[in-house]
Amino acid sequence: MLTFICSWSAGSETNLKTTYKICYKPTHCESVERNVSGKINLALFGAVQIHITAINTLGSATATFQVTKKDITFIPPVPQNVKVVPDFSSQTLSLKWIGGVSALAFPTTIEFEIQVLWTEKMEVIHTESYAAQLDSQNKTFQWSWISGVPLNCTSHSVRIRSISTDILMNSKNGSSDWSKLQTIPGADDSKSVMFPEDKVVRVGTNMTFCCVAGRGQRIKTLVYGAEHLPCSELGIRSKAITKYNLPPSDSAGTNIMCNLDPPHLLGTVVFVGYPPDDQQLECETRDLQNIVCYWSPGRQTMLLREHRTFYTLTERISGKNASCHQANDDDADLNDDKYKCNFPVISGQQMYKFLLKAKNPLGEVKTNYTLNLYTRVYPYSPSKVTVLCTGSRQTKLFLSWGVSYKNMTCQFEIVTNNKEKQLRNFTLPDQEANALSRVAVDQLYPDTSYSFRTRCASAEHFWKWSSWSESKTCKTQEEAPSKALDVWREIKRTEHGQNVLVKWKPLPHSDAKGTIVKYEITWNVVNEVGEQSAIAPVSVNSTELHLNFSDYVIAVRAVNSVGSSPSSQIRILGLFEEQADEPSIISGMPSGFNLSWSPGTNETCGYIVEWCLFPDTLDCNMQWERVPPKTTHTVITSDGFRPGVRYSISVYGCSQHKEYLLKKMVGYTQELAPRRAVKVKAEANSSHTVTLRWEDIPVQDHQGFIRGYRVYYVPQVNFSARSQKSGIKEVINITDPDVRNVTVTNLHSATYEFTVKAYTAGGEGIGEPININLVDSPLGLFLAILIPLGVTCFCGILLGIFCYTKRNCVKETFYPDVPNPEIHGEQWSVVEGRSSNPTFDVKPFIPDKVWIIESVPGKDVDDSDICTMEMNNGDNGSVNNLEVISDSGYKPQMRPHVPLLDVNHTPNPQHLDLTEQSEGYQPQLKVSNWSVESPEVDEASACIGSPTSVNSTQFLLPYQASEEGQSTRSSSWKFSSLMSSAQKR
Amino acid sequence: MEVIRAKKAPIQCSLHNPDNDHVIRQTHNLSKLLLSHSQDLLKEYLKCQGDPFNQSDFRPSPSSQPDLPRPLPEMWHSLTDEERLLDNFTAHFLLSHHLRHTQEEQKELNPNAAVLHALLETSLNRTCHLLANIRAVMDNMGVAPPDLDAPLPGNITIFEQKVKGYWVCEGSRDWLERTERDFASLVDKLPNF
Repeated sequence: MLTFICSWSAGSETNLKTTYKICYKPTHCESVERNVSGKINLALFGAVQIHITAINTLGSATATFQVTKKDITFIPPVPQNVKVVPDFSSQTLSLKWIGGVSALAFPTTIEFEIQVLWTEKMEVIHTESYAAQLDSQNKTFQWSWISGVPLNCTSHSVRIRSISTDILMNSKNGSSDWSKLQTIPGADDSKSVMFPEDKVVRVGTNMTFCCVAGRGQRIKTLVYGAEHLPCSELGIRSKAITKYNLPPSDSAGTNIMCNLDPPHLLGTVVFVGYPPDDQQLECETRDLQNIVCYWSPGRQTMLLREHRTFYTLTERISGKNASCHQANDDDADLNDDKYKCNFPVISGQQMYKFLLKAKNPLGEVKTNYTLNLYTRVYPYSPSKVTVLCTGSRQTKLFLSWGVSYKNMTCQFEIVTNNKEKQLRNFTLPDQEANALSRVAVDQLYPDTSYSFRTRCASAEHFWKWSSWSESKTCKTQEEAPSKALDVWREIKRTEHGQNVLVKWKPLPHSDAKGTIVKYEITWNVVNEVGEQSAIAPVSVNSTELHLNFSDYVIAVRAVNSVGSSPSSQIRILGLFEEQADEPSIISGMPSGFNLSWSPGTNETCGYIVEWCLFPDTLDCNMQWERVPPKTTHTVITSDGFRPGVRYSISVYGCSQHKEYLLKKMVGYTQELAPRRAVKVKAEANSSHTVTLRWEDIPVQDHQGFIRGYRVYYVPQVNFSARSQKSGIKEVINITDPDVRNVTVTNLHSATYEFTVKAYTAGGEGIGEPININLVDSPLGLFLAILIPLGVTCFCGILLGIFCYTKRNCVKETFYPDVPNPEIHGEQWSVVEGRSSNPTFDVKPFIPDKVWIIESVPGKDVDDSDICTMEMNNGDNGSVNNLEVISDSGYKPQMRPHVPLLDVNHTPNPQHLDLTEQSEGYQPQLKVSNWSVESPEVDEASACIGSPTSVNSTQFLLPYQASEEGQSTRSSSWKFSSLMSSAQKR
Repeated sequence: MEVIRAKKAPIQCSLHNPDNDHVIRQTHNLSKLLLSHSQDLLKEYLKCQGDPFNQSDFRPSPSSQPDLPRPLPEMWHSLTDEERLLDNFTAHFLLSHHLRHTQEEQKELNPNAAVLHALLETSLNRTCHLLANIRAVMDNMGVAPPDLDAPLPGNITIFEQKVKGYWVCEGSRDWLERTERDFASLVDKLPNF
């Protein structure tokens, strides 16, 4: 049966008292008096007819309603007995209430809606739905919520209501009224406070801090460390800041500070860190009495002291706890030893199961480890190690431990004094505590220092090697040297005998088998009794013996404290002269020489290769190397080999009776260019051929095998200025190294520079240039000048003779007779008004012929021509040179008023002196100053003279008085010119 | 900051009575040495407390000061030598206890701050020596020591511990300035050697 609430409207209002009756079953009616609603109980399976009858004094009226399930709405009840319990430390609100509908015939789905509010502002800060089943029984429901804001920061209120969500009910989302507000008051106003106080939180969380001001105070600032964050107002007195994703804090925590007005400082500290991260738990025993468990702390928690991680290690089989004092000691150093716990071995228990719990305020971590005691034995290193070197090749070691162990497998590390390491394994049976175990070590070398150290591990179940024990050192005893010395000799023969320098190589330590204290040298003449001996100190490796020309056997032995080495013998043949063939040339490599030779016919005991490391020095530092029998090649190497040095290498064959010279070789490890210049002498055979001769370069300056010479020659354009060489350098390559001269042909007349350079496989050496000046023969030059000159003179003389013999003809041809001017009296006309004395009328002088012999430089020929006119001045043979400029304008030599002179008439000097009669510019007035001399005067004209000389009897010959000097000067100039030009050439 | 007064706690430093002139000079020198040291202590202390303590402008309001006598430099001229000695004795007595509290709190809060711990230890030892010297001078001058109760560490939050430690270190420095001045004045009055 369900209880339904039916309600209806009263209809039109009347003043009459109206009562109502509700009938929902044919037989069941209930009066609800004046109410307009009533409860009915029925099982609603189908349609129900409900009759509402209204009755007053005037009568009654009935209304009938058909109600189905659909028409009925289910309203869940308000939750009852709502209680809120706060937990301030965890900022949690816990809510409890009772819900249930006794009338429900079957459970119905319901949802409780819960709201949290900041009371002061009535601001809903959280709404949550809580789904539940409601039935006829009253049930208690619980809900909790963690607040982001500390609960003390402001008052929080909670309310709850029910909402029907059952789809079977025709009342989906029908909700009850809210329950009454349940309020948790915040901090009171008696004093200012900050929340939360000294909290420990995990890195990365979001956290809200609030400051609540006391009465009469006001919040000024709220700061997270040095960071000013947005401030939210929770109420009139309360403000909050939220820090998101908190970073790890320092050891002193992060400070949050609240400054108040009037001035007052509040603060709180938050410690931000991580929960424990301990991992890799591992347990083992070192002494079978205690089990040590250790682990890695993992990520640092960043939390110290009271917030640090606390450890407990429990053995779960026995239920006992291990001792973890060190792990829990905050003052312990943070090293690997810190994170370990000790658990004593329980007698008879072999299996152990450990559980490690690591806990701090932010969480707990658990790690398990199970071990079988005997499979996790990590032995200590031996507590005592003693070494006793008892012989030359073996030693004994004594080991002991402070605890007892079962079978152990061990290792020795043996280190020689030259740092060679060797590992040897051995086993030890069950070991009692402090009992000495003896281990023999053999196969050692005599007279050698050894360091021994050892380590062991469990033999049955290998787990870990112990750490190495401390090193102990001892030296094995000596033995007599096992090998003969390597001996060789250097013989210098004098007229008195032979000086033999016996040399030997020190025995290597492996053959000396002890400290060599001396060398014994004995010698005796072959086939003679009587042995001589000498002692050499250990510091020397040679001794010199002065012997006669007999054959000797020399023996050398090395001696140590135990005995001497086998004897090493060499034979000296007194009269034997070594036949040295021409040495063969070998090529080396930077590190040495690769040698090979033909086998010796008498060879029975191998070969000796001998060379000098410093061949240029007095003590050449002789080296030798023995080659085994039947081996005809070897490689000799040395760091002392230097490039460019000629090494002589001798190969001796060894036979039973002697060592004999087999082969000589010379070579360079690396050839270099000759280091000295070739000195050259040059001889010019002609102006086109030069012979060059040079000397040998000293052998020590060859630095390689001379392969030939190169002759360089180049003509010099300007000898004085070497930089102005312009000739092409030519080269003659002489591939025969024995050639010492060369003739260079086809040269020109010039200065040549010759250089001769020797070359080896290492390159070309330096050269000393030499200059040769090649010129043509002076005789030829002279002939070239004199022959044309002679021919010219000869022709001139012939012409002169011819002209002399035919002078009348010539005169008539070139200078016909000029008729005498005859004037008759009647021919003279007397002009009136004139003087009775006849006047000599002078016509202007018109030259008969003008020969232009010279043009004036810089003057155009058309403008003015300067001519030289030679006038024979009668008997005295003097010649007046007149220069006439045939120019209509400028005519300095035109003298219109001068009477024409009789050529036979000796001119009156007064008449010739015109200076007083003329005025103006007259540069040629002083005729005597005129000269025919000019560098440009043609040679022929200079010799022949001027054809304008009318009466000259010497016109073909130069005028001696005036021109002799000129002619001489001219010819001398010409010769010097030629010479200079020849020189130039 | 309230000081919880306990019954007369014995001073934790040994006192002796050497020659007064010598002690006055020695005390003056000691105060100078301690003054220099106290500046290092204050600097290191603030460095270890995190932001904003280690900022140069950090200055908490005086309302959070612990119960310590103030050096009162403005009244210094009007004080007699005896009053000055009494003030010094009282201040350093209280400071020596507060320094010990601070030392213990910092061991918990900053267990790895070795420099700070060394400075605190030295300060504490030298303050004890200074106190013994002041007591000796007082005895020689016939000044009776005051009846003092040792302050006890209060149940305060970590932040309050930090602030209190700041005031202790700063108070120690301020009082050492005053002590140096007081003993310089006393030294001036001593006959020259």
